[in-house]
Amino acid sequence: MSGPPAVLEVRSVAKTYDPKRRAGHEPSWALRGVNLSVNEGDTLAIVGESGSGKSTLARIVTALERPTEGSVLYRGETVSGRRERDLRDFRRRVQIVFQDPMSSLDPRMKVHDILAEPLRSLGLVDNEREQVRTLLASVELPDSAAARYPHEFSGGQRQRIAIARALGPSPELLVADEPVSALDVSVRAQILNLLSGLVADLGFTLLFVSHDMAVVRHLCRSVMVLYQGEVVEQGPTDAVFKDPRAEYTRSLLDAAPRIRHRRERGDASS
Amino acid sequence: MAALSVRDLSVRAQGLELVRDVSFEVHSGERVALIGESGSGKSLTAMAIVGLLGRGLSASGEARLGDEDLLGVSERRRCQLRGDRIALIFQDPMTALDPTMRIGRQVGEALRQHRGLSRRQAAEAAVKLLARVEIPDPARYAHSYPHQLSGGLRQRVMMAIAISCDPDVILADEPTTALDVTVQRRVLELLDRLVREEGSALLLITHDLAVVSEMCDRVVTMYGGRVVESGSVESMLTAPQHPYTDALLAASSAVSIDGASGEPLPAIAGSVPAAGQFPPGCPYRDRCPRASQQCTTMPPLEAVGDRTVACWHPVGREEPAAGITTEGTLK
Ligand SMILES: Nc1ncnc2c1ncn2[C@@H]1O[C@H](COP(=O)(O)OP(=O)(O)OP(=O)(O)O)[C@@H](O)[C@H]1O
Ligand code: SF4
Ligand SMILES: [Mg+2]
Repeated sequence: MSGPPAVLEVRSVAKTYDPKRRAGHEPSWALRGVNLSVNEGDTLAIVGESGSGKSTLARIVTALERPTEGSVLYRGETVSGRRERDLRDFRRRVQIVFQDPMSSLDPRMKVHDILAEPLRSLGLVDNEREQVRTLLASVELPDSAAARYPHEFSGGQRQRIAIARALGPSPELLVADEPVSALDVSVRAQILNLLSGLVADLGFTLLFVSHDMAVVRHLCRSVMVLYQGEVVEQGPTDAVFKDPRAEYTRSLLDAAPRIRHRRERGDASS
Repeated sequence: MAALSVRDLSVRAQGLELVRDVSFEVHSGERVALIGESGSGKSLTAMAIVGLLGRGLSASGEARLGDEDLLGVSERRRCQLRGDRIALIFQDPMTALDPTMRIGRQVGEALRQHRGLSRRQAAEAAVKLLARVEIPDPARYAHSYPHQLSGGLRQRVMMAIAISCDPDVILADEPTTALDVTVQRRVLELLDRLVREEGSALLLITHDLAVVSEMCDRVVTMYGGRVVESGSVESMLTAPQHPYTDALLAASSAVSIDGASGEPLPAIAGSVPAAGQFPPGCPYRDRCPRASQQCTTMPPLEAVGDRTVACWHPVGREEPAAGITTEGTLK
């Protein structure tokens, strides 16, 4: 039974931003009682609407924020609450990509430096030029992109740059927080293909945060549904979509727009 | 008769033609979708129609509202028509709402301005309008400021303002794109009901073909600032003829909550070029899998039945001519 520890484990994590907590009030919880275990090679989606705590959880598992209660373990070792200088190795192994690449890419830096910077700060440079070239190729951008600035790229291209930067340190776990929700359908398809190709080729574990059930269905093998900071459902994607147990999961699925034709719409408007 | 009739609308900025010869009609009670990727000129088209283009941009052509040309009338007259007979709903209500003014006053504003209601009458009407857009406890929310409302409630407020003067035409530019699925669903249902009750014509700008299929009667596809295809929602979404509509539909249908997982998705090669960077000839040429030498000249917009298409090699009509690249790159 006792194989290698899970890549990522979240134990009874709770988070509040409420300053009144100390005064003995019951605070409002951004997250509460969250347990989660991600195994090597998993593609797990965290879904929920805005305010459900998805991004908070993403920041907590990447140690960008501390949980108020509970702990986060990486390969069996506690990382929550550690000092930054003790997170160096963790910072290399776990990378994050955000929703809006424009605000996460430094507009004054050339793409070359954006991609090289994490390698430099983690001491991973051996042939910088070559490493940058390989990273650009892995997200299907031309070498010439290295000499340009973020604003010279489209939204989809910027998201490729953000993904390339995250891939630089060869992470074992990639956390992607709504990486395609700001993109057009056509470009969204490109980025989703890119991500699933990278997962298959590089074999990293993916934690994918999204409110888009259709995208989740396509990309992730398992899914966890958050509602008002609490986990309401968890399981293999196929099973959860086919037979949702929680009322809230059902409402998310019902609300997802589908392409349907007039005969199926059954409205009397015309 | 068309409630809104747009003829040869063009928008220019410093020598660049951002929108070119756009023509379409929206009839009373009809819902027309304007689709296309980011940067295809949808918003500029809407802003040009209502005369709200930013500085440095100029429009030419016609946008007839009944028997008046919105582009030809005086600025004063245009202000009278805007909010009264033609109304606009934006993606981000925060940019359209005045952060310093209470909701009730903003909702009653158009009625005071266009219908000459007194302050008190307008305040009463505003509460009724907030109730019509299903805002709970409307009398209380009338006293709130925009920042005190959630995104979904703000969008309802925008709708209350839009319908306040019973407009003939409502333009809605991505009204639910910024909202969560569940909120989006409720806001769309509301828009659907309001348009039906008002009998207004609706021009709905969106990227989301699922929303189009649920809400609209006709579809206009834009790319590179031009209309490349138009037709009924049934024909456009079952048998698109323009390769661009076809590719948009393929990309949208493949990602679905009912869809199988794991398969690579059909994507469109490359991305929408920046303004002024489209290739000469057909603007879609460097992304199109059917492009040929002929596509270096601009295909005319041709009408076949209820459909118009601007393409030399439409999907499903004739065999593509020789010399087609499979990669879709003719550089
Ligand atoms: N004020 C301006 N000056 C110069 N170019 C502009 C201006 N406003 C828009 N553009 C350009 O015109 C083109 C069409 O823009 P528009 O906003 O109409 O696209 P859209 O189809 O509404 O896209 P989205 O889906 O992103 O809203 C884009 O290339 C845009 O960068
Ligand atoms: S086939 Fe030619 S004309 Fe038609 S969309 Fe493709 S490039 Fe344009
Ligand atoms: Mg727009």
